[in-house]
Amino acid sequence: MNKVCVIGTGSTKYGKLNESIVELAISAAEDAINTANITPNDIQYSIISNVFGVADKQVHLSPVITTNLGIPHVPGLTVESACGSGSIALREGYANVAAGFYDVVLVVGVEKVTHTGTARSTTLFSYCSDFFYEGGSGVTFPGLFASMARAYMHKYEANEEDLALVAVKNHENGMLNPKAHVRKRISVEDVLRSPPVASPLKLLDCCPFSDGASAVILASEEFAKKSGADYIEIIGSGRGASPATLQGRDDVTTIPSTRAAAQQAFKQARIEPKDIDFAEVHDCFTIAEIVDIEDLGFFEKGEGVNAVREGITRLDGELPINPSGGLKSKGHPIGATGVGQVVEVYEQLLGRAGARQVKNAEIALTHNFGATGASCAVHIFRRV
Amino acid sequence: MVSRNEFIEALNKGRVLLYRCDKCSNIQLATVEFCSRCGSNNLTVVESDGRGRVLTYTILHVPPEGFEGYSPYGWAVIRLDDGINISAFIDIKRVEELPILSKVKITGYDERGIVASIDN
Repeated sequence: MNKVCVIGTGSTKYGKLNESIVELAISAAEDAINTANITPNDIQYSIISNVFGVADKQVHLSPVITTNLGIPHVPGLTVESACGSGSIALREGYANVAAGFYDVVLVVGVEKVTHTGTARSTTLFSYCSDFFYEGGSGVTFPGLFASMARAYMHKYEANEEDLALVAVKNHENGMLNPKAHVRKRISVEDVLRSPPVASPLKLLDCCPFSDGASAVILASEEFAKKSGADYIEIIGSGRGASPATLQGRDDVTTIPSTRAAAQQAFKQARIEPKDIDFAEVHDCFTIAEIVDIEDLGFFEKGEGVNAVREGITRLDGELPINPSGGLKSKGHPIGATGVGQVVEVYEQLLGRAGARQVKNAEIALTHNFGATGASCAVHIFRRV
Repeated sequence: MVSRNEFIEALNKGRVLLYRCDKCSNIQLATVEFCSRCGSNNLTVVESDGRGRVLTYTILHVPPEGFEGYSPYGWAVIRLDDGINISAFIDIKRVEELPILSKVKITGYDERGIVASIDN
């Protein structure tokens, strides 16, 4: 297998944006191409990560994007895996380069939904659940993760204040990220007083609905060296899957796909969780970050809350989690998120993260999943 | 193979259709067409009386489209007495109404999807 490198990245702001889905994608791709010091003609394959292109009247995105980048002859596809689309698109790009099918692959994650309004977006997103058993009986994504939170708090010693600490931390990090959707310092009190969405989760326990696009250029090591661009290496890639429903799991306080994907990625990279300097994990809701850092192997089950209470996962802590602000503060354009995590890693490992720079970062991990973790991918990156 | 309509008709009678594997006796919901334990496609339909206990739940305050009129309402993951889990809409308004491990029963299927009620 070839070594695979990230040679350039780009991202729009995440937020309630006016640009169309295609404009957002082109903007991110343009920045990635320029950072990578290539021209579009170097791109051989295009992987678009998107879930609800229908909401902006555009599916079959790859040809529309490549045409508007001036490379209509480049083949591609759209990957849809709910909120995990981005990392799973990255994995497909990784596999193509590792196997030697292509030397240079463009991966663009994009989402444009805020214009549909909260009720419609909530409903659309509920289609990412197993609709017959979940969305169809009135549960939303906040509701699914609220059920997970209730079970977690029942099983382990955790309370709503602990969940709130995750939101506070991620908002602090987001204040240092000029592209973050929600840039607002909040307190634990603010979280606890925010309106209930699905008990026990409140508004500030939940990531926002966001628009945005992020793009990366993947290349073989050989191409990376010749390009003259600064690059980082992907040293581990893992996939996992869990039962589509919460009901299908023996224990709803853990996400099996995360554990499987992480084990594969660590095994391939020949490192352990303790070797990771920082991680971007899937904090669609505050409870998710706590469950994620346990499932990834950073902390024992039930101990994730202690890590948060003790400040271990803060930007200035031993293991910064979500230095970008995470889905909570940076935002969650669902097709873009998994790719956006790689943009953060690239900037951090190359020392370009400004005020939120993680010191001495050499090895980083990204973790991103779809729905309640039915699909998941984990990647590990190394500074070269 | 149990059709979706047959599954729903049974729910409407307060029954949950299950499959028992002819080969290894594993029990699963009758929407899973191969035995999840041994892979056999030879499954026999059995009926659950839909009784069970709440494993976890939430109360929705921000509903999806079509559920505005019921808000707030509950949604629960239920462990049927047969050992299989299912999920359902449940008409409760406050957390205190449904402690974990409360007894519930599947009572039907309508525009609210799969519906359960507290089983006293």
